[in-house]
Amino acid sequence: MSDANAPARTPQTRLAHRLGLTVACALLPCCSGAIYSKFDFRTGQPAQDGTLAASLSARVPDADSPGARGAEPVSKATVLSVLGPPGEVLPLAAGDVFVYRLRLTDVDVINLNTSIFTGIIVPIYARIDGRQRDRVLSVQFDASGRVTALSEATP
Amino acid sequence: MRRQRASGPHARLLAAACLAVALCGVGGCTIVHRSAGAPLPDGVGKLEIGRTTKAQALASLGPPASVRRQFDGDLMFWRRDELNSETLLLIPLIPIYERTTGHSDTDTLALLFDHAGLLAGVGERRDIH
Repeated sequence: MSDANAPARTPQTRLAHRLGLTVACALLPCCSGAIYSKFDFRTGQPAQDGTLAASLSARVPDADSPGARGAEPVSKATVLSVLGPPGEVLPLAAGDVFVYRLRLTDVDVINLNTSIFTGIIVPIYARIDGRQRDRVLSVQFDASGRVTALSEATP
Repeated sequence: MRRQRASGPHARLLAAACLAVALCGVGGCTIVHRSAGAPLPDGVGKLEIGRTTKAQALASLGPPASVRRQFDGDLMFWRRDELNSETLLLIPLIPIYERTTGHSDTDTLALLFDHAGLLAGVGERRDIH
């Protein structure tokens, strides 16, 4: 069955098609020798339970008015049992800091070069977009192991 | 009788679509799984705050991965890390698209001992499934 509506393919058009295809294949590695790469990575501990952190925060005595909040001081043992083991432990002059950190890394890379086609790396275009977001909860203790400050930073 | 070929626009479109799918389908997948550290020891439930000594904990759980000195005692960590990542690579003619997703999970047990060597606090977190 022939298609009466199909355009007639003359030898010239066939030649043009073949030439176009050849040129396109030749140029492809140069134009799209591009590698688009995307990386998503999560490290650290999952986000802390906000209610646990909030309840703990409510029990931390206020430095300005110690008697106003928190009937009894929060101990390091309580923090360990509520929030779990910290990801980092930092020493202070008179105390310690527990750091709970969730890190999300997201990187986009566009890399155009001629390495695949020519075997020689000739950079054409490179672009890297990276984002790193940290959710950090830090708990500061005094020398006796009582919580003196609690701070949380979210992206 | 002359043999007729299906060369209409639909047939060509179908062939082009099949070719595009075939080319885009060329690719690979890499799965990386890496772990470090021994699995967390059992027997955490036997530990008693205020009664278990450091020596008993060590005998029961084995050597810790790290020890951090604290003002109010020592903090011992048992830890196992796992890293998982998956990479999808599409290579129609050349590597064009690569996507890597991954995450690292950690099982951690932390024991806090006071200066007398008695267990003062326990923290445990298991993220590895």
